[in-house]
Amino acid sequence: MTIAKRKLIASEEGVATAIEACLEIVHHDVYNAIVSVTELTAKEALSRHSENTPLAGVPVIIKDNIAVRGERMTCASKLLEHYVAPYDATVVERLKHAGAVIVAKANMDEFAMGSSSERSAFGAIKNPLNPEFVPGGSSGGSAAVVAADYVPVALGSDTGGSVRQPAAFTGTVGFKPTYGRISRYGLTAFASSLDQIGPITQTVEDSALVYSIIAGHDPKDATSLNVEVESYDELCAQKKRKLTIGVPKSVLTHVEAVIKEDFLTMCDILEKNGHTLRDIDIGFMEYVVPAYYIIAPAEASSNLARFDGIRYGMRVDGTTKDSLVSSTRDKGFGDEVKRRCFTGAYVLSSGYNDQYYKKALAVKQAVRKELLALLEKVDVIAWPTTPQMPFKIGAKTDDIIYLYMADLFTIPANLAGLPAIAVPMQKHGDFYTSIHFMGKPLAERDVFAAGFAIENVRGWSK
Amino acid sequence: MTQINARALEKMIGISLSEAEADALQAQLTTIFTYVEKIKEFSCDAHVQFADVREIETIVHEDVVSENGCAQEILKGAPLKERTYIAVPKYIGDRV
Repeated sequence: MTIAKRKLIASEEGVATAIEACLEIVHHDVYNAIVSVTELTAKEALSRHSENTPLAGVPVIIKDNIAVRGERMTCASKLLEHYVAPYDATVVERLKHAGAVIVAKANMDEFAMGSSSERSAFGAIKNPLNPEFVPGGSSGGSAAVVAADYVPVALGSDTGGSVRQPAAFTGTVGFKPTYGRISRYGLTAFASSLDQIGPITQTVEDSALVYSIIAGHDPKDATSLNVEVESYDELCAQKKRKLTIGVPKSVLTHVEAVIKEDFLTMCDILEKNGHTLRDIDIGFMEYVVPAYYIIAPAEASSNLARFDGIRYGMRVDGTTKDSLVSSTRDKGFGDEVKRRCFTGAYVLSSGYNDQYYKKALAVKQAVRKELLALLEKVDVIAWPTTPQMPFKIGAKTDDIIYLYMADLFTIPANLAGLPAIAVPMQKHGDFYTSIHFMGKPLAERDVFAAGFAIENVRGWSK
Repeated sequence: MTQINARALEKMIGISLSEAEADALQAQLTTIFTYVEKIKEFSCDAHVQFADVREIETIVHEDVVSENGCAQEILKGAPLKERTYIAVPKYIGDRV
């Protein structure tokens, strides 16, 4: 259901009744997509309700690594199971100001590390399209609650594709802005140079609306860009725009047949609809996943050092200071988090950082340079969002590299700091294939224009 | 094939592993590093800029003490508290 439909229902039934009904649904969540129901925060929002706000009475769910004042923020980790956020993240503050009602916190891969949402301390999340399958990750809970129609909007965080890949697995729209467009204040840091918050919605229009509300300069985030953000109306004016789209067909060798076929069909339709398609070559694909799995763990091992059993969350006592810290982290962190901390520490350690970390930074720089050069000639670059369709829960748990490869097409936008969107293309059985567009820095309007172009082709309303 | 000694990294990371955990992790790290080794083939010139390549200004805040009034709320997240402080065990040297 879209934001507009939710608002219509709320105006007919009354906002309080509509939110009560939504709270009832999230209380009885059957996909393990919810960590906490934020009833007090929702009721407080109702007491301040004003019809003259863009999200008046619209229920929203927030990924559990984003702070909502007075509510638990677990990051799906045992270590933070009882941690209560003392302040609102800037995105939450802006959503509240726009009239949104936060009804719950969404389950996720622990500390946003994973691509299947099986790595939560509170259990695996089920895909509402077929509960035997994963919903993607790490924002799997945020994608599931939108796919299940609990709410029309959920926020996720995207470090290597954690908004766009679960959107692809659940038939929803996932958007990641230019790095610095949306404040990270109140987002638990995973890999600070790559992390961005983004919305998951049913439609591109809803994504544009939420983006226009939560984006913009924030002095509390040193990496926040002080650049004007397009208004919702300006973004919606892109609906009929004709674009020049770069298509690197050579990357399709990595893709499952059904996704490749839908993607090529969609390219043909776009061309028939008046868009200009250009073949482009990309030379860095074999290095992006290795570079990401060096840079992200390196930053994570540093960012997660703060969880030492002293200031936040759980503490396991020890006979020495070191044993207190190591026992707390051993009991508090799950296997994937430990793996990434060890990987990060290794690639940064003396004697190895030239071989790994510095090489990965060089790849990051080369990816940005090459993408910016290509984006001089085209408005957006298109390829599938994922190389794989969703898989069954537990089927790939031990196949680390398969799970890492799930982010092959989403990682470049994070490495280069570019805006990107994932939009469903075609339904096959229970699931959808998804197309992905990347645009120039701060050219979110191009990316939304491409998203609208897909919806114009598909012409569906879910 | 890259062999990573997980035990050697434990102290640096501040995580203690059981025997079984260390064995499992060692095998997983070997798989991961065999895969990311690919990065070594990437040729880059000597003048790679290792700082963040995006144009981001460093913001410097004035170094002044201010009363934010949220000490009690911050304490709610601490594992143990004593009046208005985060409580920690007392160690003499390295022992309790």
